[in-house]
Amino acid sequence: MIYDLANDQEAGGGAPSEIVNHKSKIISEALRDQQTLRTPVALFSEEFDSRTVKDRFTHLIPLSKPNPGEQYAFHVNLDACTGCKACVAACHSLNGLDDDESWRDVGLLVGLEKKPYVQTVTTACHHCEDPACSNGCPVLAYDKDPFTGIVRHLDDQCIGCSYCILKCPYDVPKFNLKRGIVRKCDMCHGRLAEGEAPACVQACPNEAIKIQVVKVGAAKSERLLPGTFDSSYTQPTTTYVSAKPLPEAKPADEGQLRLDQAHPPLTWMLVLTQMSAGTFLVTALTSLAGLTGQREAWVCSWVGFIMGVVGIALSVLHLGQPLKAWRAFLGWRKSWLSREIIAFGLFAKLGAVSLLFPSKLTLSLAALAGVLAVYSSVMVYVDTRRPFWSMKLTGSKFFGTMLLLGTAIPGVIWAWMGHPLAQIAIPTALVLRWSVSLFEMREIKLARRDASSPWHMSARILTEKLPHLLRARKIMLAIVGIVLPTVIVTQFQVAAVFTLSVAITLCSQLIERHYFFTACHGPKMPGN
Amino acid sequence: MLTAPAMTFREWTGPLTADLVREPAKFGLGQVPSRLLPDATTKAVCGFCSTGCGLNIHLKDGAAINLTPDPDYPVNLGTACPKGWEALSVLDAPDRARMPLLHGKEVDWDTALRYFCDQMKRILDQHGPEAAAFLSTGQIMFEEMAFLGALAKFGMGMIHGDGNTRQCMATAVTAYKESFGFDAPPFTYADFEESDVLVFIGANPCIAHPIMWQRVLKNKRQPEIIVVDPRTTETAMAASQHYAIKPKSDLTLLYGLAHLLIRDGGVDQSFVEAHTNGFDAFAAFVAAFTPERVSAESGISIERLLRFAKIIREGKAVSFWWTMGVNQGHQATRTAQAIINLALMTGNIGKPGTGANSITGQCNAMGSRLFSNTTNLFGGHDFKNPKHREKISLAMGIPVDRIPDRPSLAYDQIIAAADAGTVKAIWFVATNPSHSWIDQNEMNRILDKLDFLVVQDMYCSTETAKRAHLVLPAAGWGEKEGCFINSERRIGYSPKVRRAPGQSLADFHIFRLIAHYWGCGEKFREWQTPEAVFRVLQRCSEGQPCEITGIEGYDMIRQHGGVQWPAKMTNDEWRMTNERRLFEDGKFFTEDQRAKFCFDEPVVPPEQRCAEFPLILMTGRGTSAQWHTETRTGKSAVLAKMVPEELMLDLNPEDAAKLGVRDGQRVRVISKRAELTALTRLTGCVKPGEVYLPMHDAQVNQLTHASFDPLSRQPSYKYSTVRVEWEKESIPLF
Repeated sequence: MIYDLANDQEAGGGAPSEIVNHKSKIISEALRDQQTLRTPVALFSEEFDSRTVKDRFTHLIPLSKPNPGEQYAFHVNLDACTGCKACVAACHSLNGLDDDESWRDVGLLVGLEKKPYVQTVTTACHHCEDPACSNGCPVLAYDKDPFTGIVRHLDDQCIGCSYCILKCPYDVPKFNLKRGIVRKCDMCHGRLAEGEAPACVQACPNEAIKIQVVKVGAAKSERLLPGTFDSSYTQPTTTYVSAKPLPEAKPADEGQLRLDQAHPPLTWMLVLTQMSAGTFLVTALTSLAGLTGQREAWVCSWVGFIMGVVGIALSVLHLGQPLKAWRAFLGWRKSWLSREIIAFGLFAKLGAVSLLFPSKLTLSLAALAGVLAVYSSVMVYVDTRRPFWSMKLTGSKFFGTMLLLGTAIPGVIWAWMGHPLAQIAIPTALVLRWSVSLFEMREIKLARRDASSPWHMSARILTEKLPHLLRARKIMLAIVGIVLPTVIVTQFQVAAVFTLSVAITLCSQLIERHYFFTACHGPKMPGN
Repeated sequence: MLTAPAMTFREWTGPLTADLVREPAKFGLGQVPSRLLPDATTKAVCGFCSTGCGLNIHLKDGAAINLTPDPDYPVNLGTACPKGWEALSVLDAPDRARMPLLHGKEVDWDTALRYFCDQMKRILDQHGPEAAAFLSTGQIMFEEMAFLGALAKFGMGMIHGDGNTRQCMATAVTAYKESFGFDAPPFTYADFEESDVLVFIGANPCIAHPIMWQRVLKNKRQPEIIVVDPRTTETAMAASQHYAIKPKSDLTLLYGLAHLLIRDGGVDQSFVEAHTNGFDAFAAFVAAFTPERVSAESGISIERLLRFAKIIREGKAVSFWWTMGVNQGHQATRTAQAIINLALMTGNIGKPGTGANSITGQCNAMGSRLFSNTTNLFGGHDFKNPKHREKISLAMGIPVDRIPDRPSLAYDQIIAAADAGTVKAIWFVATNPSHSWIDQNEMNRILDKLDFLVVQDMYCSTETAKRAHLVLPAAGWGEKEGCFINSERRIGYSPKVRRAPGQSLADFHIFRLIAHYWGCGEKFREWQTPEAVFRVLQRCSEGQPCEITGIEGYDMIRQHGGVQWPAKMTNDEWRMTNERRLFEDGKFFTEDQRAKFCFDEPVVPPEQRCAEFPLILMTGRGTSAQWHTETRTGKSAVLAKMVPEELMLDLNPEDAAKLGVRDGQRVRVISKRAELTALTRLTGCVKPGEVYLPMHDAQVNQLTHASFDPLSRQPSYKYSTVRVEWEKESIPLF
């Protein structure tokens, strides 16, 4: 402290201006002192801890590296995990992560029996034997280290497609918006390599977290913890132990209706590409059957091609690192996303060929590629094993959209061109519209009523959190399914009215595809 | 951030990978993120709770860039809870107060200080010394607390001042003072490790004091851990036994245990005879607390009561620990003393692993108890005692006629006086009563009546600051230096390692500037630095149980790993060890050096369940990531993700079934005073007829019923009545 408080007495004897000067001087001195940091020497710094990090945690990490057929794994003693969450904070601080980023999380299990039970659960990446994240990655941005078994994410390889987030049943990889990539736990592999414990292991006051060496392929329990995903999917390596038997329990947040991430570019991409593939399919079929001429087929192909290309182009907006997307074929051996990208690439190319060299063969090939591409789209979601994205639901939605809009778009074109086939296409579209909608509504109703339905929570999210979307779609159905057909029957402006009808159906399918993502209720580890 | 691809199939390295590279740091820290590589480190004591953990601050060019828990500090042994880990990040919040705010508009310090002094002088001159009061905190360093207490009372001439420690520690203070003759928590954290039986009453250290729980788990004796709590908390789960008593039947239970100990020969007769007073009257009193009665009133079976008493009777080293479940009750002082009585009658005091031990709340609660100059005159002295006033006058160089001859009103009495119109100005320092005070709407109604409301705080966004006429922007922990005193009486030092934002100033600077503008700077001529004030306070402590005259200065506190009081100049024993407990000689601080048995008949809580409000609402800590009104912890994104996104109401499934409510449903929680909405969390951890809400939500204290312990004046946050309602959700038809 520089200034002397007692001076105000002396200053008090002086002229008023001197008092003012003195007062402003002591304020500025206080402000200056506040902004002055002491030198490290004066702070008694540069001290060394008596024991280094390396010395302090030797009992919590393996003495030797894994042998062939073994890998590192987290070992969590639930009896010592009492909910302090220091591991979450330490992971953030010791790894220099962004804002709210931490690769560890702590959730809660609550008992279902009469006897009260509450258990906090620390959780991070389980460094699975068969990592779904890695299997799904289209660009091979994951590497399961052959020696340690640590599932590492290659940050510079990542294109930010987020598919690993959908694939992981434990909600481990997280999208980092600022960097446009996904990041995840690397078990502090660099620390382990030097004989230091990972950040979370260092931080736990109760030594609840250890690193152990486990045998690859050893028998695993059915699931890691109550309410978590079937372990046979990815073979997670984390072990949770407790001296007390775990009673029947559920994650504390199980009853919470949460909305998952929306993906607008994918919503548009899926609907537009399915519309495009359907258009090619119907065009090819009618052309092969000789029901339409070359001119109609050519116009329909052009419209289908443009919609498909726009859809594929929009999907690029979904990527955090689009410049690296050219590598997306690398994962084709395991990744349905990679296959989908290849299939749509093929579809676009064959579509272009069919426009340049119009023939029944080129058109049929393009249509076939389109159907395959839509099938790969279905498989992208089915392969995540999420209940709301089952083959039954996803297949019926995607192929339903393909057939419905694939009939409707040529129908519109034929109607404007005055082709008589429109008179078949319009009622067919109507029947498909009702079928697709009634099927979905019935499925939602059943799943909502049945608490044991695997996608009961999705049905609840739809009806309780997103009822406005369902209502909007029902109003659209009433318009498209009843009002407009009545108008069409009167032969009033058939082409215009049917175009309006198809536009409304397109909107309706976009809404459906929006909640396809947000109501998914993906599996995860227990939360708060 | 777009990055261009390399012309290879796989990129194993690159700028994004480099972001996360870790490399070895010096100072024994191990690997740290490369971009946070320190060029020096220094040590600080954490500024959140009373555990008082040591932190290694990583410095770059003298400023803090990161921190890790200090492995060499005797308190925390290298770990910290999330609040400690995030202590630096909350300093960077955008809503830090950067300039003084007068009626919401930024003004310079000169204007603010003039306005402050003009208003306070006007009110004190017109309405007398009782018309202005200060209400402070357990969150600032005790040198600053002392400055505030001395400035307000000796400099500005106020009579009344209290702190938010009234909400957390007042009960322990009152109980210890009456029972032991001085506010003297007897324990040291090593006692956690040296007990054979640990009894936690109204305490959830797993969540509220995780680093203390670490010490419990370090206990190698396979101790019996008993938790008394109406809820099945994380601590109750981790304990070997849990007594889920009916809310606020703790006093009856404790008397019942005393009854059984006497009946079954569990009394340490020689200790009681040699070192205590009033045992016979106490024994006669608890004769009425038969197991049958206690079982009926507490809901614990007779068999389990007998077992509980037997464990205490047979335990070699039994320690009793209590926190807010006891302190925040309508008969809190007597409950704390009932715990003290158990320790005294079984001779479980003054020995390793024993004691009747209050786990404190805030980082400087103990410092404020001894050196805030509110209820006690500096150093645990008595305002009413002329000899004490003279002693402090000499020690501080303050004219004796400036020292008031009466203690301050308690917090709730100051607020009541404000309602009555006798208190017209209140100066709040580092506390947020618009959120935290019981029956919050009533508090806010009264605050809005004040002629002059000043808030001195790190953040301009607190509920109280928003109501203030004048906001003085304060520097926070890490932006100033000084000392805290933790639960086990350990004085720890915290340095300045960050620049404060804008023109915010350390509370110490603000008090000095006010002294100067008030025209009483001469009285504080010696009070140049926090360390200079520390020396003044050392003189005040002379001859008291809390004497700290032996400490040579901050340097010594640091090198010694903190120093527990007492640390007398005339006695060197304390230099040898870093874990000391009190009363090893059986001599207490009363006049005859005997501890006193204090007791009273239990009475029912003032607000009782009825048909309209059939549920008991208990409030308390939510998660370890949350601190009080979250003015600080709410600013860390990492801490925020550890907290449920919405307010959760813990509700028993039986009650839920009766109400027709399911898990995760939005419901209204209604008391006589207010209502709020919350999501249900169905759990058997609260019993039927009881619900629980975390106190951190700004609305929760609108529900609570304002009742106070008559002795400590501490509010009772643990017992209000509510009902739960819900609206049928509209579900579209198919």
